[in-house]
Amino acid sequence: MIKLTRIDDRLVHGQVAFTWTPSLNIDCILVANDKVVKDEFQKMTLNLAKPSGIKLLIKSVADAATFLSDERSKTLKILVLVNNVKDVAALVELVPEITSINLGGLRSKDGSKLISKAFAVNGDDIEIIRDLLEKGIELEVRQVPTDHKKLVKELI
Amino acid sequence: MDKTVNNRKFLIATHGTLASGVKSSLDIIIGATENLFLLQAYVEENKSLEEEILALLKALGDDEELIVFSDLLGGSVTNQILLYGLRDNVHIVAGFNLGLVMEILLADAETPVEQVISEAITHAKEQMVYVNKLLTAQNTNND
Repeated sequence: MIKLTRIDDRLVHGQVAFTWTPSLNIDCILVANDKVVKDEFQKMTLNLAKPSGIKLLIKSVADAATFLSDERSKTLKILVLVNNVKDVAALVELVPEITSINLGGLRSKDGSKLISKAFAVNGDDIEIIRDLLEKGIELEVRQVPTDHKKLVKELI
Repeated sequence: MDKTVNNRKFLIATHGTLASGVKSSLDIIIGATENLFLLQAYVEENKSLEEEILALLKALGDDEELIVFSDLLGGSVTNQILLYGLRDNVHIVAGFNLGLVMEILLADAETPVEQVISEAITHAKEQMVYVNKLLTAQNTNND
């Protein structure tokens, strides 16, 4: 089952390995990204960041959705990681189990503005976010599990 | 069987401002931590740490544990903590790294402190890695 779906452009890193993984008792981290899946070097660095004893899967967005819809993934406690808003929308479309999205970190890019300390969005992102909110998806900002949930609908 | 101790306090003790630098990193990676104290030696004046150590210990109940992270084994900060601070419920780890501090701060308070520290030290040693060599080794394995 999916324990958390998180947008974080650092993908697997300290906050994920040291706080989210133990606090949600995660046994599988699934990175859904079409570029990383083809990049051996990035895959290697993500493997270095992986907490010990945790299964790390790196799949394209479409393959990740297939995996999450498969019965065999139901026994795992999965943390799904994407590094942009568009990919999370694609996953939501394909995987009805995802009803809540954690906004963990998105660094500033051209034309973006911060909606919280560590999350910057541009016009395209906001459009997608509004669409997700309309579908009834919860979007909440927390860098680490002990942060208070800030709801995105109050921030944009 | 030891009685269960739930209240753990933590002290990062360093030469200069390394301790507050570590805290700054911790705040970003794991969020704010309760019961975390800092001791930064020789920043303002070149005085002994006795007073500060004793003040901390005075506030430490018998049912509480204090885990001290000090920067250098054999350094004067570690030595003074040993001299003034060593008690049954004070546990001193010298030569910490960030991963070690994070693991111990986040450990389950029900797990005995000796076990938490031993495991964290094992993991922390694994975290100190010559990354270039590690990458070379991985590449060779994949060939």
